[in-house]
Amino acid sequence: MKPFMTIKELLYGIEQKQFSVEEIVDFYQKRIEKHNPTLNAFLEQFSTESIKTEFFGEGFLAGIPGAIKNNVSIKHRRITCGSKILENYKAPYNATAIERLRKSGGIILGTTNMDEFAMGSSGEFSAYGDTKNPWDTQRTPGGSSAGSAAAVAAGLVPWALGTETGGSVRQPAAFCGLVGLYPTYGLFSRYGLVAFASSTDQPAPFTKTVYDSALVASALSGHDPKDSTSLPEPTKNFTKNLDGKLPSKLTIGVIKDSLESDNVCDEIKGCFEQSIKHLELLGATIKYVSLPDLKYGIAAYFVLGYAEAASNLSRFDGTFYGERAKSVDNLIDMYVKTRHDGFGDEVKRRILMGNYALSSSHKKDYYEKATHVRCAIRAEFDEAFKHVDLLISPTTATPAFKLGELKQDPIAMYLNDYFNVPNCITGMPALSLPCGYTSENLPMGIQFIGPRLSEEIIYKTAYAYEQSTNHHLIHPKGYE
Amino acid sequence: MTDFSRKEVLELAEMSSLKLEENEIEWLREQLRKTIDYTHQLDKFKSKEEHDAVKTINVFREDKAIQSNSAPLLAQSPKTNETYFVVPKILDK
Repeated sequence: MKPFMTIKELLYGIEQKQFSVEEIVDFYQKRIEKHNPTLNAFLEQFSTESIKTEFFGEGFLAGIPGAIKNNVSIKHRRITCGSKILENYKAPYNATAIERLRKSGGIILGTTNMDEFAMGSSGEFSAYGDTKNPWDTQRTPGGSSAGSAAAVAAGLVPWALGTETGGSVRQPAAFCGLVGLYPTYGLFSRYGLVAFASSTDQPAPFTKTVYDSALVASALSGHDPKDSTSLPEPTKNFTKNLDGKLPSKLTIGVIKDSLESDNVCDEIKGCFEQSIKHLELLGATIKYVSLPDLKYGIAAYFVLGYAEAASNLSRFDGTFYGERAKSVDNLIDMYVKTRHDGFGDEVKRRILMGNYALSSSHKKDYYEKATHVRCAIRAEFDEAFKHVDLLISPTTATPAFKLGELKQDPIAMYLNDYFNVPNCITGMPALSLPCGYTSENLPMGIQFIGPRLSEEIIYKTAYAYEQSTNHHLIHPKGYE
Repeated sequence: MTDFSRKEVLELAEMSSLKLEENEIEWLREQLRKTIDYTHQLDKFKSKEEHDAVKTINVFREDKAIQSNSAPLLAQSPKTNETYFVVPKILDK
């Protein structure tokens, strides 16, 4: 076995009896033990014995190890959400995503570090320490699915599950040279995810290649009656049309605003322009599209995300799960002290902001306005998709920044997700994949955004693009 | 510019069931001011037309009793008494 094998290669190896599933598990466990002390990507590694009893099964992912962000419930395993308040909480049941990965034969080696309750874009807001980017350990892997991204980027697992609310999979995918998906809202079940902003939360995979992403996404697809926002869609097979060709008569819209924005650094602009030319050479018709309302996306997301977070996190008060403050006088005192001791600064800030935006005297100025903007952005996307099949933009405005660089500046931190938030608040799918490397050898990402339920076109397009480049074949130094 | 008084921050904290340390109050005041200022970009948004609100539909399922076991849920609580959650007393005598 060699490092950085794709799922496709591993499946072939198993079929050809080049190695056994036990050997695969052992190989990746050793890699985790070797590199995790530097990266802090994993919060928990499961014992080999328990992995064999719980995850050795049949299916199209049989024998393929992965890792799970620690806000997705795995029965009887610790689910901390990167927070002290849930330090010793064990999930009483499996999330639907876990059930489906298990039924496909996927093997789970452990759980990964994350920004507390998925609030953050750098992995620095975890109660269990910063996660490092394998491409440069002075830098962030992005967030909030920091550990899942770092684990796949360093080849510690061939796939990992993250969750995305407003960029939490695609931004770290771009920072770590990976493929990251945000599905159509409702395509994957939220049952068993710890809620942050329920109207945009989705679980989603990280992989090294587009084909592997399509494979894991297929395992996650299908209607789930346990999630009332789950779409009544059948199970999908996203790999079936991946033939290396673009969809016929494909028209791609370049989001013009992303090329004109001052926030986007020159190297990313240059790389993005190259990608546009590349797609044109592959046969796509390129149009330039202006989407002026996108610039309000982050401000609207602030309000909506905070408001939903404040409501969702009110359940953590020491009564039902997790930690409870010691020596309290009465019930209110227990709530207040438990939340004070258990939540980190970023979470407290968002709860306060959310309750401010939701309070009766401010609701009109913030929540209602943000809802209105959300509808306008959706209408703008819908209009654009009458003229183009997919939209493209850089995934992030800069490559991975240094740890500590933005920690005290929440606005600058959130601007990372400038291009990721608009499709999330409108429930539209997007896939980020590597489109090049900076002069400092840091990955850069491009993303394809499509109308609702356009994953098949997105995957087909992204696969054709990827297969005509070698960006997915480059790995961080020191992990090969 | 929206400014937050110390009193407002404390009121918000109370509404959110959060206790704040002295050093957190000033920090949060500043953070809230910055964030709210940014959200005022929404004021610049001028809609050309009224957009339909996102269509929501009710999702129903059959009201069917299923067997469930409360023991694993209770087991995760900091304090229980076999069949219920135990919390500190609510009323003083």
